[in-house]
Amino acid sequence: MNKIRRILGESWAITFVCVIVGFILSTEFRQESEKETVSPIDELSTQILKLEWERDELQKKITALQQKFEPSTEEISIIEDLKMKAGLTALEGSGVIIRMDDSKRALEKGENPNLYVIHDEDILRMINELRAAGAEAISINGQRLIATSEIRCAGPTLSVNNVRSAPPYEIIAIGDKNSLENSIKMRGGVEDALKVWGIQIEIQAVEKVYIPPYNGNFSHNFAKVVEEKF
Amino acid sequence: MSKALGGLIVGIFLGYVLNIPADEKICAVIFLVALDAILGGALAKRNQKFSNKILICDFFTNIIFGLALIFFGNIFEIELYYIAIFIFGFRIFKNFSAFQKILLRK
Repeated sequence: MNKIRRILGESWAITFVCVIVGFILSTEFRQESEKETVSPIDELSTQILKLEWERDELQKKITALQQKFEPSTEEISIIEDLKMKAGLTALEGSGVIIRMDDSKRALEKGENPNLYVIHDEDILRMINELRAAGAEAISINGQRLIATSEIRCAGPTLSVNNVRSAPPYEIIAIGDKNSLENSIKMRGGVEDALKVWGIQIEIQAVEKVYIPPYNGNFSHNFAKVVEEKF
Repeated sequence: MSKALGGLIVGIFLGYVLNIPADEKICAVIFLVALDAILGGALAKRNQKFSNKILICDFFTNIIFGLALIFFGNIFEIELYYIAIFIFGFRIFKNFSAFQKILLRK
């Protein structure tokens, strides 16, 4: 007891309380400095890393399962054919590239600016015309159109396959390039109707265009396969 | 005086090394109680009335009372610990000014 008294001094209680004050101060200070370092960016980046890791693991599983499955050459050709028809393969061939952009015309007073921007309906008309002219595969801004693809205005952007993109839009179609070009350029056709509003359309018939595959998910939650009925 | 400063440094070191997660309210109350105890002790020493036992006893009962206020404040959802902060802050200023007067008169 005397030893402790010698170390801590005559009024050891004050020293003791001083230790506690220092303890509280540094604990609190340490906590404050730690709070600052954990920013939302760090949290999000760790989340991204984690998700990327998960994705890679799943990708590995897929390749492992695919290697186990050994189809015959006939089956492979059927699968490739179905994949091509479903839009899961990249395609190349002669076709057209159409670039569309919003009108550059200056608005007059009291005019509705909606008239001079590209809407989903304009794109739909264009796609419809291309399909009527025998387009075999179509993509919009790199998004492959498949049977379930939507073309829809999402605010000022366009949503295709649930992926949004902003103007300018680039529509690529594979087919007979002359008939595709003519279907758009014909008198009273889509191009004429849209040019009234100053929407810029540029059509280019090319010998070789590339169309990327569809890389989204297929979900059939409600549809079931049944026998054909008459 | 030097012993007290040494204690402060030891405390800072301990707090930094141990790194205990602590509630802000509890920290604030203990901090104020401790400051009050130090100033009160220094004043008592000047007046030749200093007693280690009284200081320690006072310190711990004050902390217990402050923690009780935080606890009940959390239950009633009223910030009752403001009472502790207010009273101890008041006492710190009072003790400090009394200390100042003694030093100036000397």
